Amino acid sequence: MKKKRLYVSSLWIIEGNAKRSRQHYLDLLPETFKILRGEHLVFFCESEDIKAVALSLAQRYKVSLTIRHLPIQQHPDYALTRQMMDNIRPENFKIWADAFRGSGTHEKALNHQNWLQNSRHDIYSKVTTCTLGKTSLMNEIALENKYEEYFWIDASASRLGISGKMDFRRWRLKPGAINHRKSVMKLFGNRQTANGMVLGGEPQVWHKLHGIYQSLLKTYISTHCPHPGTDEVFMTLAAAQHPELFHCKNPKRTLMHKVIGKIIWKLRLTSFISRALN
Amino acid sequence: MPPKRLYISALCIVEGNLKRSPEHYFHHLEPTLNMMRGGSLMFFYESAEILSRVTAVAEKYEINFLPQKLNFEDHPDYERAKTLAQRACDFRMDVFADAFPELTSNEKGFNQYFKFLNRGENLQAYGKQLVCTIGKYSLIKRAMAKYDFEELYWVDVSASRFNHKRKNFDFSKISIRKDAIHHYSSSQKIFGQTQKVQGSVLFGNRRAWTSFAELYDEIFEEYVRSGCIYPATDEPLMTLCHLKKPELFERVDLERRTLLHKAVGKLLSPFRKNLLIAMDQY
Repeated sequence: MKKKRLYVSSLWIIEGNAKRSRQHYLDLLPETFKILRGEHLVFFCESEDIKAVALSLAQRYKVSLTIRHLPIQQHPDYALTRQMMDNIRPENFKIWADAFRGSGTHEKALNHQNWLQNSRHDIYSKVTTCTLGKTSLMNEIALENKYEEYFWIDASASRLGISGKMDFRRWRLKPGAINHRKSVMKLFGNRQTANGMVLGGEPQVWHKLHGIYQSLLKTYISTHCPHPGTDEVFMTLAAAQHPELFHCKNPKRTLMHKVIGKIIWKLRLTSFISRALN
Repeated sequence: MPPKRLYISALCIVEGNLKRSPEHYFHHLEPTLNMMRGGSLMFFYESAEILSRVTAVAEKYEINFLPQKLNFEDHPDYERAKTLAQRACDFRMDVFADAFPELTSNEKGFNQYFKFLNRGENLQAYGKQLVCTIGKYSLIKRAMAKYDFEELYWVDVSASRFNHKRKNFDFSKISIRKDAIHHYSSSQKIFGQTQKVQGSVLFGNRRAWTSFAELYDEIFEEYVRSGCIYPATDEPLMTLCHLKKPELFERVDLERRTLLHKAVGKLLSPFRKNLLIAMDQY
């Protein structure tokens, strides 16, 4: 009989990461393991000290852990990520990042600017590989194992609130789709499709997403796209082609919302109410 | 008493303008000049044909017509415009434009890159088009150096395309309220943020224009130096000016939040989130 669910995570501490310190991850990792109490987890990492931390946490929280040794430079997406980075230069949008700083835009390209500016090319490539490369790892793990469901979980995912409908441990997956939470970050003012921290799906969905994702990554490189690319950017682009492949678990616009929205629109009150609500 | 107000405009037909045909400009020229009836207009042009067509319309509306020949190559901002045009060729956002086609209308950089610059294929014509928009402030400076009008109104020849489409569209009826550049609002966006200023009609007194020109020039230079590849026109540069010195700008089409708006807003505030979700604005 197939086992139900396998979680997959990773942690590479990249020296010189201008956005997150080693301590940031080490502070969040215990809570992430605690959330996964009693679950099966494959954990990709490189350094011996991270392996030791993971093993100790697994023991403490009764997580059935498999460590997978993977140097970041041997990650299947590392070479492509480095190529992609050749077009993503700190000066591209710095003036806009500075101008809109503090206005709370949550715009991906601007958000990445500080990080990009304060990182060496090779360091930024490695950090990006960590986020961008999760679908390749999921694809690999789903090919090697026989679980019904595979969940990606960021090592720092414990910073998310997981109460109520957002508790992914209790999610009943919508078949045929990557089940995810909504992202607050935006691409040219439009919300990204998915938050990349927790993503769940059946093996065939991961294989399908991986194919689309890799094709998009190659197009991104061949067209010399200058926009920073991360997992969330590629999932948003994938969702534009295949919306059926994504299912958001956040509470949605209900029938009641739709009816009220229709009434407001019919009465031509949209502009008035928007202004009233400031 | 000498007239206080000078309108300033320009028309250069760029061969290879992929977005606007010459007829687009001539179609809107007459109603635009109609709004300046009886006023003074300094007009920058390149070809004799344009001069003769505009002269005829100006005569029809009894405009004190002050033509001024200006070749693209002699425009003081031509070199900087060419640099920005060249740099905009790197704005290769094809994957985003394919995924979200509406960006090519809504988002300034996409609009410029895909519709005007044609993915870098139309570089030469784009450089010329760009100097027409990005270099308006230099023409205002020339007007201030040549004439001593107190109020200066920049008006695009196609400004009448907004007639009846925006509040207070008839700029000739709006008086200058303070030492600021008076402008309409824009619907286009930069990284999803609405541009602060629309460039078709801009007006202010000499003091405001002098302060504005100094700031704009500084921002323009900074933009060129920065190596930014986001395609910029006058509007993104004015947005940067606005973010730096908002007090230098005065919006003339503002729909004010009245007492009624405020009262209704207060009543609805407990339902704010649900109402925004209902209106698909959350």
